[in-house]
Amino acid sequence: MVYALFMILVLLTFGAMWRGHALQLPLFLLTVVLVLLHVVADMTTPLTLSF
Amino acid sequence: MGLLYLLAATVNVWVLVLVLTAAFAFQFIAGEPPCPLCVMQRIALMMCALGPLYMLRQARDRALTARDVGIGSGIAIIAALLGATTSTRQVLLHILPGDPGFGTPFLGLHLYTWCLIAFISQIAASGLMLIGSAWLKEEERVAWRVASVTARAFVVIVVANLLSVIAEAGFNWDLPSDPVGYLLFKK
Repeated sequence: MVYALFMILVLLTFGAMWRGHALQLPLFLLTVVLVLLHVVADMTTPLTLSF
Repeated sequence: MGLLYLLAATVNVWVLVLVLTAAFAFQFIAGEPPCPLCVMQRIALMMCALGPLYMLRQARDRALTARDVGIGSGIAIIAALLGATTSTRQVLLHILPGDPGFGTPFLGLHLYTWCLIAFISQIAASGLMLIGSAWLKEEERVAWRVASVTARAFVVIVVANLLSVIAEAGFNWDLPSDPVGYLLFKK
């Protein structure tokens, strides 16, 4: 479900972007931070958790 | 120059949509559901497309400016760096001699290696766009009707991936590290 959440965030960012909403860049940065945190979490857990 | 930028941004989005479609086709034809890192790379590819889509959106109502190119390229570069980090992580997981890698290779390289090449190419393309903005004529507005079709294609591929990942993860927070099926349809 976490990946679905990221994709929904991408869609929300795109929606804000296409409508010219002021939240477009904050939403993009929020997505970047959340995805980065998830990647870092994956990198710092034992190898059995990722392929 | 404005027309060239819109053409480049459109091609950029379509290349990313095609890469995502190819990965999607690979998932169903080869019968290999994507692993967590593969899904993260797909998400980074989607985020890369937001950069050129930003430029297309800004050029819809007025002339494209160097500021728009700067923001759009920045979005694409940050997303590509994120994706390259994930791809490198997966390449390094399988770098030891004798390791068969994850999934079926395509043209001799695994999909995560292709993804790394795609992310590096995206960074290079965005860098070229930033340099080229020095010659951008900001008063020249171009009617670009392909933008909405391109945006629709992007939305379709993101929604398709969203449905696929929901089917794959079922009601679990994360995906299994070596997925073999779609947990939503399993008893």
